[in-house]
Amino acid sequence: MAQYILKKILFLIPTMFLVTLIVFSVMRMVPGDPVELILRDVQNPELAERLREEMGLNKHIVLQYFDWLGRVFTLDLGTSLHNGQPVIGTMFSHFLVSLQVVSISIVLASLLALIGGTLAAWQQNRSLDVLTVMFSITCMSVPSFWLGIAFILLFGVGLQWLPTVGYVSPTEDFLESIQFLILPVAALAITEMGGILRMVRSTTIDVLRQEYITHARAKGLSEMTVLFRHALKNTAAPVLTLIGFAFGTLLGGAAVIETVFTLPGIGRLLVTSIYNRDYAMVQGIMLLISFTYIFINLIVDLLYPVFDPRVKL
Amino acid sequence: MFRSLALSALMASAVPLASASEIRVAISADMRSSYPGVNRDGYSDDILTQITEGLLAYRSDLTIGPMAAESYKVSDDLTQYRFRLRSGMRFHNGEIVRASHLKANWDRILDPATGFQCLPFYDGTIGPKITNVTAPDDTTLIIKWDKPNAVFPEMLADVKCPVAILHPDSWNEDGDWVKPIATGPFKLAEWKPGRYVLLEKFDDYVAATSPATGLIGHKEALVDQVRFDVIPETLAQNAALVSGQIDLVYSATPLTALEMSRNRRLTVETTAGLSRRLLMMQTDDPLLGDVRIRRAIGYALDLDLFAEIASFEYAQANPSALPEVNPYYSDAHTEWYEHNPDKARALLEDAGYDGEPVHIQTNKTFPELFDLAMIADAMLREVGFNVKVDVMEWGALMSNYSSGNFQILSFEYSPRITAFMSYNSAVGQKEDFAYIWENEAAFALLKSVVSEKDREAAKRTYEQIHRLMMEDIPSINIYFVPVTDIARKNILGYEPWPGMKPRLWNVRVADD
Repeated sequence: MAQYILKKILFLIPTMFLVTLIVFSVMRMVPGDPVELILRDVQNPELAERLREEMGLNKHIVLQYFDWLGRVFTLDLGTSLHNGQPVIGTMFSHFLVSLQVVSISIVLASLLALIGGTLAAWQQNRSLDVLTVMFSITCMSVPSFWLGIAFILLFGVGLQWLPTVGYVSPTEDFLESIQFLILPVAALAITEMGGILRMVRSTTIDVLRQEYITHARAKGLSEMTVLFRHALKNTAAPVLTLIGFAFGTLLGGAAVIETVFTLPGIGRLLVTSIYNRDYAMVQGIMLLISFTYIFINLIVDLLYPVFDPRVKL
Repeated sequence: MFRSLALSALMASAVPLASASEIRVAISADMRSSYPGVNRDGYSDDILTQITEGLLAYRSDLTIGPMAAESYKVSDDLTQYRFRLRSGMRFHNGEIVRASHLKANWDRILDPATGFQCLPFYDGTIGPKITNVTAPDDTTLIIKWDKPNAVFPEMLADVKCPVAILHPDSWNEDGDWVKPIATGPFKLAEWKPGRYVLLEKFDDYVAATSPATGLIGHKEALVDQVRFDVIPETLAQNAALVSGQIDLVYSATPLTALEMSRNRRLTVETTAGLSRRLLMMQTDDPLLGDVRIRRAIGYALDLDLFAEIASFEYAQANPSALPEVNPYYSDAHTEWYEHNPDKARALLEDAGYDGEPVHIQTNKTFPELFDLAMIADAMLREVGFNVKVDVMEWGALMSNYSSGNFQILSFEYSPRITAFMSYNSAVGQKEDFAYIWENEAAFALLKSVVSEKDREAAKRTYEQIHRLMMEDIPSINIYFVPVTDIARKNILGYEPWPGMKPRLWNVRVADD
């Protein structure tokens, strides 16, 4: 196990290096200049030149890259070219918002999908199963932003039950923070649930055909015990991979839902920073997202043997 | 039990509405920084207008009047400006404002290391240069120029680069910016990046006694707090406004105004604006370098129809770089090419136009600019132009604007209140700005305005520049964007302003 973790961590180094190289190069290839976007239609060429110099944009691109890489090793990601705020602080405060929304959504979606998918598999080809399959297809077909807008119009504008925009941290006001999270979490959870639900159902159907399940039933165990104690554990292993993938993807990719609900998450920050050509911020965020993605995969890998003892790391 | 308690607690509070002592305003992007004139953009200016004040500012009719100054005198040769400060003014930290504070502000602004964006207006790059700033006593500030400068009051009052009066504690010991300790009716209380900027009423604000008009006169904070919520999406802004989560959306699009005008709980108010939408043409381009082609474009566009469609009938065509509300605007600025497709075709034939593609660059970040390109496309095709519309990402478009790498650019200039600044952004030398209209006669005329004391003479000069612009046709101004602000009905005393800045003093919240 320790050797496996070490191998994974060593693998992280070249991966992260590659990520930095790609992100850095792509950002510099995109047309547009952060200084032009700062000054817009203000005519001050001297200031533009000075800002470029201060930001290090006048240096050769290779030098810029190694300057930045050198700072990354000392955990100094610099300051935003757009507003001068420290990249690390800004990035983490936004990341925590995304982490909160995505974690709750994924946990909720996974729990409901595990229960629903297992029951649907148990009732294969009966009405509960048909309804579950229809529901999962609907969930997968509806884009999260559409669902978000529909929720805003229904629960925010129409019924006025919940706030439509904004975010309150749980440390500021716990109850109010829940109000702000309900709609985005619901929109994300529903759209993510579809895929997990289908995966749970099909895996459980396979598991239920295994001999040990027949044996368990023959022992006279109740159907619920068979399903949730014996079948579910074996279903969990492959489903875990999907959940890990969804979790990792959403942490950096929930920009649309964050924009619809005006959540100050990392996805929205990334998109805004790309538009502003805020190189330092984009590079920092991409590093964080890549690291998180790899880290989540590592956790999933480490959890695999817990659910499937046949797997050896 | 727990479940029902939790549910009732959640539902009891329902949507967290703005309180009676707070006005919540939607802002489309976060403040870049709180450092006025240095690390700024339009959104930062909108917020800082509530917090900071300068010596002079604009009235509602866009004439200039004293704000922090009680009065000012100009020497006959236009090289010396003597300002007398309004007595009793205090900074947000309670300290009395003295002329020495203003001198320190000016010293900082004139230092290139500060990075004041509009320094070229003061250091001799554009026009005259400030040679000396002195504060002979606590209430007098004297600013001297090396040459006559008639447009100095306009520069001082500019909303983009205001010279805000700031206390030295706005910077830390290392000289780094901390936050504005200024003199406005509101002070900065909290900034949560990406979420909101909270302003608090400044209790010790000493208001001017003259009636409130534009950005000057008697200003009073009638609410305890103003909160600018960062809401980038128009749809999200509208939803928040309708549900009562916010009280005000300013600079709304015409489409939003149309939609919201049907809501009984909202007030939609529109006034003439200063932000200019135009088609810029690159006079260095091999095809558009031929003035006959540019004039053909002038004749091909039906400006009245163009403005009507593009603005959803909220604005009228204006081919001038000056808005109708500008004091220097006159009938001469209405002179322009009449819509005449036959003349356009004749000019194209004369120029030997053979269907070469004409590219219009636009973007979808600002849908109104995309509309501008599409309407131009339709009108130009009618006379035989082979138009290609290139939709680009905003950053890439800005890059092409700066480098002059375009044939036609669908563009919008941010509000320029002063006539001088309106033309200064249009005429100049291509070696400085590749996108700009290079016309020696026009440039000389513009420079002459700087030392022109007689307003009528200055007015005539601007008319001459407009005529030269018509002759050369380096750009086609379509219309000025009307300012439309939408407030909930219980927001009393709020009015939109052509300068596109929300003004949240003298505004109160009644019970909904």
